[in-house]
Amino acid sequence: MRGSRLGEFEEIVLLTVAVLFDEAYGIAVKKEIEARLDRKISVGALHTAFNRLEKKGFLQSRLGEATASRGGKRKRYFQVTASGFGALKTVRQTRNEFWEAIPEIAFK
Amino acid sequence: MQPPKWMTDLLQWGLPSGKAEDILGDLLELYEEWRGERSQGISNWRFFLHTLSLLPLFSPQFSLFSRILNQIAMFNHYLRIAWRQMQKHVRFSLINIVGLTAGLAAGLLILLYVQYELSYDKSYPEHEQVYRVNFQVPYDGGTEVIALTPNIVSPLMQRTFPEVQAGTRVYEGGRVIFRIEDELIEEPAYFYVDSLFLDIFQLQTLSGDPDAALREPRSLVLTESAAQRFFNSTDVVGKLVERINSKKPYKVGAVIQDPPANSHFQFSTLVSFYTLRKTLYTDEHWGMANYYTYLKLSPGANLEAISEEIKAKVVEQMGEQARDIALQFQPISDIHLYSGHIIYNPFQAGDITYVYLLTTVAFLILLIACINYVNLTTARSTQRAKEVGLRKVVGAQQGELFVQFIIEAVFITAISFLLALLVIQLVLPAFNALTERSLSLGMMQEGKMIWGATLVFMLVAFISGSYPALSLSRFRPIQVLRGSFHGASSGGWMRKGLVVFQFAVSIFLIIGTLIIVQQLNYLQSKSLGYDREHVLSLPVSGSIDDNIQAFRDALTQQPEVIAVSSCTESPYQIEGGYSIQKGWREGEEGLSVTAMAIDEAFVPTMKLRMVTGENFPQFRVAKYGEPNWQFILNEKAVESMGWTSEEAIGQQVMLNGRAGMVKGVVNNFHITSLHHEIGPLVLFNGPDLYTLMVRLAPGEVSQGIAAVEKTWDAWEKNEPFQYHFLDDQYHRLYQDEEKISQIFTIFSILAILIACLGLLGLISYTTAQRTKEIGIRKVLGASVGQLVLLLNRDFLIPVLVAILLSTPLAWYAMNQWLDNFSYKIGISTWIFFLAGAICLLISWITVSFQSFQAATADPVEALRDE
Repeated sequence: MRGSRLGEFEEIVLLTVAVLFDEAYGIAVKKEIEARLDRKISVGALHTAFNRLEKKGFLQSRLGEATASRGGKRKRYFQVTASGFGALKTVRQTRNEFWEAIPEIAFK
Repeated sequence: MQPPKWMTDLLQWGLPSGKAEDILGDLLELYEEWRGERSQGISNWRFFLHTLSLLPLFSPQFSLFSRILNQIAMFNHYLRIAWRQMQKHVRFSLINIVGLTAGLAAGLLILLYVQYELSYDKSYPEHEQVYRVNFQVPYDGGTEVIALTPNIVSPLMQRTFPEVQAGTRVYEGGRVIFRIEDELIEEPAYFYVDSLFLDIFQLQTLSGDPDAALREPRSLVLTESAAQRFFNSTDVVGKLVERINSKKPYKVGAVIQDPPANSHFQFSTLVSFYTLRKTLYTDEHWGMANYYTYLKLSPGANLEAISEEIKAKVVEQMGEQARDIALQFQPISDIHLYSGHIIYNPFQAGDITYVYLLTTVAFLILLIACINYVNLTTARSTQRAKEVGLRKVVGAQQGELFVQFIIEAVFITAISFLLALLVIQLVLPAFNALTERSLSLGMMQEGKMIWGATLVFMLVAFISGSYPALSLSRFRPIQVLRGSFHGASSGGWMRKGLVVFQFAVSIFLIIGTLIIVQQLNYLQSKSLGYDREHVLSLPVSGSIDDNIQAFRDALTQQPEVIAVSSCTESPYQIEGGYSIQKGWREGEEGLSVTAMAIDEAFVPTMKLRMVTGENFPQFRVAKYGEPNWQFILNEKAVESMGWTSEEAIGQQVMLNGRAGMVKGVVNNFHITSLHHEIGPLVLFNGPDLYTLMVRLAPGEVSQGIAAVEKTWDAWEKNEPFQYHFLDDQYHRLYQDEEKISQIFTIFSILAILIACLGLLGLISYTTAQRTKEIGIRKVLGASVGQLVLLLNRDFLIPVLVAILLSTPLAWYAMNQWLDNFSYKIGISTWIFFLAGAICLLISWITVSFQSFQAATADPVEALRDE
């Protein structure tokens, strides 16, 4: 299981790819994260995360069609794999269990 | 709307092939967006930052980039640490920086000076092809080389050898006076030259046609500064100039650039050779060596073959007696530094030995400054030991630590280097005044100099940094971190050795300086055989020359004037080139001598001593062709002719065609500098008495000058009053040595100060380490005196050893230098004691300054343990 753990930033990237569904390429993901979290991220950091997530098998990718913009370069679209969703669910479940274990009194 | 190509190329090249396209695409998309809102600069900058963020994604084979990035980060870190160290130990850093700054400033200054000395005459285009012809003539059993040649040499060479592309004779016109717009203007550097002069000394023409000007009589070529001085303008071609004592006016034919300051030949007005008396250029002959000859040869000309051939020609034209005569070809770029042995080398000269000497001194001073850094850094190494240990524990390699400490040395050196440049800028005017050169910091940027300076910088950083870096980076982490480490003691002998070296060098320089100064004092005060104090020499011409007797009578009536005499030149510059023979038959072999025409008052005025015979009985100026010349020989000349003084009187002799009799013998007196031995000298009753020697009463010198000037003004309307003191003129013969001795004094003081600075650093460190020991000793009853002695002892022993080491070396080296002089001091032992004492005293004061402070400190402070 060691290799399949999710870091905080990786989790966010994975979630964002899931949110964008069919439109999840680099810049779209970058903008979505920046909009939701109100923080700037670098292209390098983003692609490093993509790399790792692909290596762990949580993401898969395909190249799109070439367009006139972007200097004629194709986009790479990402998609969350089944194990990717599995990992996200595990994280969420673990969190929920923690939340439920907090005694009522702690919130008062 | 494209980011710079090199960035996209870099990404394309570095990113793994499968990823490059889409990532680059992402970036380009962003870029387009930015360019919609922001300027290109900001967009480019953002693009660059994102590119940097992608470097970790580069394929493994390009991971060099990330390593470089890491190195840059480490470099930043090292610089920061170096800066913090500097702030934390202000005192030591200051000592290091001040020491290195002083050393670098001295070193670079000398480097500049040496560079300047080596640059002489090299700014002329094609200077490699230009030679001065020197004349080698027999003299007193051997030969001597003079810079003057007969007037035939240049035309003959040009006619005979196709390799000679151009040649010029240069005849020194001496001082002339022009009258320009009713103002008398003196021109001290006036030269008669042939028309090809400017083919050899290629200077830019500012106006007019200098080649044409030098072909016509009475036509002048002015340098820019001369034109400014005469007319306050350079647009002067065609203007007429009146020369005093000349009936016809001179015309300005052209204005040229000034000769470069770093040229041996400084002239300001040139006049065509055809202005001279006609016979001087039409009658070519081998007598009368009065002309400098410069030739320009074709590239690759065979000098040896030319010398051989011209020698054969000389023998052919002058007969067997010319066997020893030869022409030598000296490259003009050698004239400045390699003319020590050449007589009548007319211009201010340098000396290659002084160039070597100063380079050595510069190197030694730099070394002393480097040693300070080495000593202080290694002495304080215990303080850095923990840092080294910890760095090693977290994975630093020895090599990396070495780099770190080298970078610290480079950092300190760089600061010192910048400060040194500032210091040079400040002292340069004074240094220029002292050396009579025109150095500038701008020379630093010139070709070789920039490499020289860089080399000095690297060398200093490396010499200072490498040993401390090596010893620090070698610490073993276990020893260091266990806390039982005393690294400083291990390098103690090394530090002491270096201190010995520093002081040995300083003492060497001090001894050298003392001996040079002593020798110069000796030269200045040595009895010259004549009394040169309070004697004025006045060059005369024009109206005074026409009424010389009346003028002299007028002078003698002044109460401040003791005696007046006429002669050809001041005694310090009596000319050679004469030869005296026994008997009156032409063509006998002669003795080469120096000679001068004088009057009957010369011997008493100069206070010469007659050995035998009389001082010109019934004096009158002799004429050529009459056998009534009278001669006074010095003892050396009499001896060289093979007579005793008594035998000499009444002998029939002939001096270059002047037949006459020896009338008297005078004591040997020094005519040139004491570099040379007294040679044979002949005084005779000739014409051309252009110089007046006026002896003033001691104690009334200034009134005397005023009286002479008043008389002068009454008699002479055309010439300004001008005089020299004979002893000043004499001092000028030793200008070189005086300058060098001043430079030497400055730098040897600097050397010892830098060495003491290091000593100060070392003692302040050890006293800080021994604070507790001193406290305990005090508590137990040690007196301040005992403590000071205890602390000083450690430092004075190296100084004593240094004295012992450097004394014999200095003795040997200075004996070598003194061999340059025919008349010299013996080196007395007190000099060595004095130098040693100076060194001991200075270092004692330096050390005591610190040790006294430590010894008088309150022991409570030292022993209290919170």
